[in-house]
Amino acid sequence: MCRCLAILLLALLSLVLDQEGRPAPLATERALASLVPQRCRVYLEARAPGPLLELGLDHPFLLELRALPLGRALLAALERTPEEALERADAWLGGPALRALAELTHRGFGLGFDPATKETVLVALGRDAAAVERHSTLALDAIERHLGFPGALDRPRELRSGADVWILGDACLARREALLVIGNDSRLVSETLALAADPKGLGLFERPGFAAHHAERPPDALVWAWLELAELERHADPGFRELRAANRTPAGQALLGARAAALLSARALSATLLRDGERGLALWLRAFEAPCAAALAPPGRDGDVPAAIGGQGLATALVYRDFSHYVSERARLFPPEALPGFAELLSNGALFFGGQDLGADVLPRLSPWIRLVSREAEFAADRRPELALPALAAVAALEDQDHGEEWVTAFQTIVSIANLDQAQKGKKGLRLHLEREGEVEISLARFPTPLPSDGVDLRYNLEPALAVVGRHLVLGTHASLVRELVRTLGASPPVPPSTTRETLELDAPGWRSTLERSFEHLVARKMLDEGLERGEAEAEIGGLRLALASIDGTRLELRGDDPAAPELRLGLRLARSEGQR
Amino acid sequence: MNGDLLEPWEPGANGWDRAAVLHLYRRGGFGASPGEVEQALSDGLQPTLARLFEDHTSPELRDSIRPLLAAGELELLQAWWMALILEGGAPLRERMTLVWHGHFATSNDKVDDVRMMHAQNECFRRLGLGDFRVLLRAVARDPAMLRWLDGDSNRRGQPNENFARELMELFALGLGNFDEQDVREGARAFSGWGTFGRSFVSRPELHDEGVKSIFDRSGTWTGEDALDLVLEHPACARHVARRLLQAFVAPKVADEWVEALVHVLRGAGWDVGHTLRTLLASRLFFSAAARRSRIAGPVELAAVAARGLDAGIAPRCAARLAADMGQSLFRPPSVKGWEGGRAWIHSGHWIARHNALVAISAADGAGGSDTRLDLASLFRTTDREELAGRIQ
Repeated sequence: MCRCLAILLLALLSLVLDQEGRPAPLATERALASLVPQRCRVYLEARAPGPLLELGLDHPFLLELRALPLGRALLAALERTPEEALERADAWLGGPALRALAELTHRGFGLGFDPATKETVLVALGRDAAAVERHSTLALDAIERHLGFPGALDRPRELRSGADVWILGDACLARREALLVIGNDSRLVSETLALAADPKGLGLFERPGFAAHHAERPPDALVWAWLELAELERHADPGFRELRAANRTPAGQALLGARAAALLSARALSATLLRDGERGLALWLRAFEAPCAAALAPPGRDGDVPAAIGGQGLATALVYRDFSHYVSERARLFPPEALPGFAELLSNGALFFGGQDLGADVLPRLSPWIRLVSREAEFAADRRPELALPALAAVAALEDQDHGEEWVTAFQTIVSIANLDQAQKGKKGLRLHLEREGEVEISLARFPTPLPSDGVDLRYNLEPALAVVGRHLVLGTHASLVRELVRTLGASPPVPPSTTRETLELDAPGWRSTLERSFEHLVARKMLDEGLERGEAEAEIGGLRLALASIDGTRLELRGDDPAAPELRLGLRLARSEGQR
Repeated sequence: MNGDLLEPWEPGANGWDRAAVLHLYRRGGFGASPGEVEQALSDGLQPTLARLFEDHTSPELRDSIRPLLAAGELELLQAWWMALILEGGAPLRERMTLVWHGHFATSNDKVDDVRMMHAQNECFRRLGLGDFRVLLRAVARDPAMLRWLDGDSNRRGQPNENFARELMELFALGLGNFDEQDVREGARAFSGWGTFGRSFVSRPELHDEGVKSIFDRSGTWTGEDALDLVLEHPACARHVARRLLQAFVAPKVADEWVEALVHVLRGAGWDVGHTLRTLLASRLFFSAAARRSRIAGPVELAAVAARGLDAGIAPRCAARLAADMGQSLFRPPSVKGWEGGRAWIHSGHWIARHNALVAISAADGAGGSDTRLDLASLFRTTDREELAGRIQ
């Protein structure tokens, strides 16, 4: 009896031990991110790269990229063609490499990085256990062959959390059913395997905000990433810290606006890369916990939106900058060291606006929605700068047309005061002029026409002008653009905002022609700045030229109703390759 | 040193050594790369001297300033000149351009026009090794100089003496060789000379046509006449010769050296290049009194260090280092130019010199550094003599 009991106990014990040695099978619906230890503060995931890898070099989008000027240039610079490289990879592996990669990552892969220890782990879910075993064995055999360790990797070194583990120097490779784990640190791989063995393991889902962002990633995303900026900042260089702090500076706010600046200072960011139509790529950035954005967000002052401006341009943008809010709430919004600058601004503002308070009187009468337009300026033949730059104009909506007069006066006062300063230095000043475009009077200032033998300097790009068109206030760096906008705006009134979003659109071909005009200047500058030979400098600027030739345009849009979670969407339209034109 | 001090130096069997080569390259140019030193040792004095006079500046580098002038940034002009110096394509021409820049010191701080400063710089480059009389006449009409020394406000009845005074005191004669009346009358002769845009203009309606007395010679002198009178003054050749000796031989110049060089200068029809060809090959130039007698100016120091170490320093960075050490190109502190000598090594500049040399020698081009220097290969030799020479 006792003997039977002992045998039974032994059998039960062996069963329990076996259970411990072999954890429950990995659930098929298990999310990749739940396998990555939460100490990884950077995570990148591709959910289903299999189909993409199976098409390989024949993928239509890849073919499209290869046909673009930038693609052709990059290929020409390579030592061997992608086809040759792939052949070599196949030969190295002893089988089709892309096929093996597709099988090993059939259900996706995720890459985690711990910035504190600089450790990285890759988790991949293959098609099934058999496929993973077959292809990973192929890879291990290849490593053995090529590194000269015959038989060294025939068997796993150990068993951890139910996974077979191979150690290759600092690197560690583990395989369990359809799961493959590769890391540059054995401890991180062990933590990953422990998570895989625990059916309730949450991994990165324990990080605040991760689950919500992860759940909202689009199903067709090529790559999705999670970056904990606050954690990265602790290990980053001072430049990164300064960039994050820009959100709290008036300059950062004026340049980027509350939402875009908040992206920089958010606790975390999720990034999604996806295809957008046949020839488009999109990058979405969404912030998690951006408290500064809430503080700087509009307090409900919507104001009207300037009428839409048709026609082509190098860049068009619609931005939200509530300058009156910045001024009136400056002590709450910005650090103390920024306040003297505001005092100077208010003092100068009173000088320009006939004693009015900029924060209380002038800016609140201006809509926070501002339209920006950049186009080529039109220069008179004897005033065309040797280095002609595009003009930029801003269009804002006034609360009342009558308030336009004070802006005209301020413009003329600013020019006069600037001229006094120039005169004290013995320099030539701007001359004030009044011109008419239809019924609209344009105030403008320009330098005297230079002598033909003197050349036309960079400063001739500046011919500032201001006009009031109905309730629209138009201010530009060059009178020709202001004149054009006066014609375009005509009688269109500003419109109330509805679902208006901040946007920026860039026209790549336009910028390319600007670059072509400035090419010699940029090359020469690079030679002197970096001590490069002309050929080297040309090649570097040429890279930008090729990039611009390869895209048609970009669109940037700021979204997010929750000011603490702004979202930036960047779209890139690829140019048609020469064969398609 | 006796009267034949400008006779050609005969180096003898061991005289033409690394120290002699480096001395010639440091004074006649901006130092030599290790390759140039080896070449010079193998070629001998005369071919090396001839090489200093050659101009192999790359046209691409020379022309690179054209598209940049419209930007009006002085830093770019400074970097461009520094690039010409570092390239070493025309060693003596660039050296002489710097000498004349210090002699006819003009600052962009007042001129405030990069194109004008560039035009003046090209004038020094083009004429600096030629006839001094031609150079002086060109400088007198140079728009940057006219703006710097208030030519535009020099008019009949309201003479501005600035240019006439500096012409006599600093540019051509030196103190003690003129008096206040010469300055006043000289200013009247130059009245009406000014600028129109970026060009020279002579305005007859503003010129004082009355009789002037300069150096006790009376006449209705014009600006051109005044320049002739200055050039005919016996002190002029001595002043130029002294300046050349200070720049190329030693800061303390003996009167006998001056007299000897005046003889050469006059004999060569005021040709500076010809005069320097004699001076740089002379016993005086290679004498112990000349060697190691000057404290290098910042531009010279940065360039000699970078070229000697074959360090690929970016021109803009080198120009900035020179400015930190007290010599910002195109911005001399006054019409007297840079004081030079021991002023280069007062405590503030000394620290900057130290830091500049560390920046040039310690950087390896990684991490965004502006310099690229392979110190390991430079000091790879185990030959102590050779190593000492390289350090020298």
